[in-house]
Amino acid sequence: MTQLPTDIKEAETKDRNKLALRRMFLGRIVRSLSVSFWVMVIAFLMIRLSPGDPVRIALGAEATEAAVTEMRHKLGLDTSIFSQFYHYFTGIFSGDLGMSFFSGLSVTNVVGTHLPVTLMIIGMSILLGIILAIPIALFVALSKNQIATYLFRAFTSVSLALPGFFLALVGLLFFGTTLNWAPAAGYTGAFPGNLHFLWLPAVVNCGSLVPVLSRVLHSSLMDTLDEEFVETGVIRGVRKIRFYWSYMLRPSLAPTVVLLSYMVGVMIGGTVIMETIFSLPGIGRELITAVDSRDYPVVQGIVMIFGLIVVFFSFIGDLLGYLLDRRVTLS
Amino acid sequence: MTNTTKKLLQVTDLQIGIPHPRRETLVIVNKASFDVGYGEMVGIVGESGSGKTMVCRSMIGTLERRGAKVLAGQVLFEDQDLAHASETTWKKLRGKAIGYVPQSALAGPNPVLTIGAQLSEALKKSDTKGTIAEQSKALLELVKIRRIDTVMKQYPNQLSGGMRQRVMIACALASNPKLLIADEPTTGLDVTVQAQIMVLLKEIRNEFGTAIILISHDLALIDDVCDRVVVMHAGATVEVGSVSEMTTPRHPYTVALNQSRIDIAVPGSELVTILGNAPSVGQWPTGCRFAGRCTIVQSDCTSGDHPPLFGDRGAHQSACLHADLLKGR
Repeated sequence: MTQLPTDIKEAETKDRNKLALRRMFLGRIVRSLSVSFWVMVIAFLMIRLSPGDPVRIALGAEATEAAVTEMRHKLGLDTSIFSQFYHYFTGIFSGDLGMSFFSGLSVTNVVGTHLPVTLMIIGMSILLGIILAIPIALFVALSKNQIATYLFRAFTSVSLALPGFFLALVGLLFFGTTLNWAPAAGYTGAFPGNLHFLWLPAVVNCGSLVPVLSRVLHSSLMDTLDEEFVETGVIRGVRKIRFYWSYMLRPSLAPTVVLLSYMVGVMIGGTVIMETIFSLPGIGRELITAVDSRDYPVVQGIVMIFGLIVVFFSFIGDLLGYLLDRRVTLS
Repeated sequence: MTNTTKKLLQVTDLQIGIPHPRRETLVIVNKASFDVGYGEMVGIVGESGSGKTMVCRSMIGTLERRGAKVLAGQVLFEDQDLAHASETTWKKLRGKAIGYVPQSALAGPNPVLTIGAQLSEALKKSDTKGTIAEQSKALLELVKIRRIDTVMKQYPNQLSGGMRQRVMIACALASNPKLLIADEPTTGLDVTVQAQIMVLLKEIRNEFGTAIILISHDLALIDDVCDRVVVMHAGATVEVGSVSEMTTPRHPYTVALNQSRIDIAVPGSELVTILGNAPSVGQWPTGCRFAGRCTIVQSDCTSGDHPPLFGDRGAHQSACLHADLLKGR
């Protein structure tokens, strides 16, 4: 057999593909790290740029000048902003995020206590969101029923238009008071007992998560259904679960997965409101308190952690999208 | 070829339409008739919208997915009428006796599955011997792919268009089909790769006696590799005959197709094109659907039904009422 020109070309591209993939992966990590750096910078600057002086808030209006100067010195606020940043930035790498100005607790401690609650809400929302969005999108896409599609569009639009805090209040009234399925407020216990307190916030999060995810998945599914390879699969006789997974869902999921990873960021922002309404001891509520009192170390620590979580999830989302569908690039 | 020999596939007066809940059913194929013998390579030519792809879909059971259905006629594959087969019947038939090579080499293979995974899918339905890995390798060897172990682990986007189409042919051959349908299999491939794919298809026919239906709008391509030609125009078969018979066409549309071939064009002169456009689906005129573009149109051409194929099945057939007028042209 003679060597066809296409085969020679193929042999060359193979190694190049591998190299390109490695470069792509490394590039994505480098980018995540650089974004993380800027997250740290912005977290540091943001609270300092906002008006209000933590020392004066803490000591009250009648504080003497001497007391103010003394406290400012104690908190290290009399040094230059560069020196403060250096202190904060080097601290991050030794796991030291500073001390709260007021409670005297270390920020790592605050985050360690309250972050799990927030992550649990977000984790439950993601899980519930996936469990609901996939079957809904799949059903509507496969039914090809005009009425089903119309209802789907209408419901998702309405659900998206409702603000989260409104849904939360209605949910609290209905499930918490009328049906008594969920506690109206408070939080106790460790996993799994705490699920009793967390399920309603997760459901409320899904009020916007499920419409967004199912809309995107539905439209990718419709595109996939028109693809030639689906027809090839049908003709080849691929059936049942294998067909639904390999020929419909998997080629359609990448945009939804990437979107879900971005939605984590949106939800983290939303937990601030959610935790306040449901009186949950999550990190979002800590953030509000800290902002009120201009507790610089706590605010910059929490904002930085939020940023890192978003960076981490978008990296995971991109990676997962790529693993599901090799047409996706990690650039 | 006489008409007494048993044919592999017999399409008779096939009529395909797209039903609409409120409006009338839109007929897209009407009066399509042709045969495919065992081990025969048949080319179907026609412009876009002439119904060639729809006719093929009736043989692989994908009309319904596109909202179309067979309204009348027969598609007899061996002894089974595929035209009216139910979805349950299709579930049993698919991936067995009829193989299919899709139009677009680039979009044909599933992008999320490795080549090996797709081959094993195709092999699961076949009852040939050997492990799936061995058979997959044999298939890739058959379609002349080298570095088989690497290719098996690769995803389609890592392969060139030509390679992807070879893989698709390998998948279609997995169940050792009696009939292979290739719907414009070289769309989007460059000319040298096109030629390689055509040679490959012909070799497969010669080696395994697989009958092949090759759909194309390129008459020159079909002349090169096929035994017989089916010419379609506006949803109907207008001429059927062997490649040699087609050198003296008996339908004005085939004449026009022949004249507009690029390979016979005189350099420097303008390309010959066919007058007008094919009538759109749903706007077919009464009488012969080619009449509006015909150079030898007569008064009786524009009334009544579209003419059927005249002449004996298996012989040179034409749907022209006045084929005699073409003699000496």
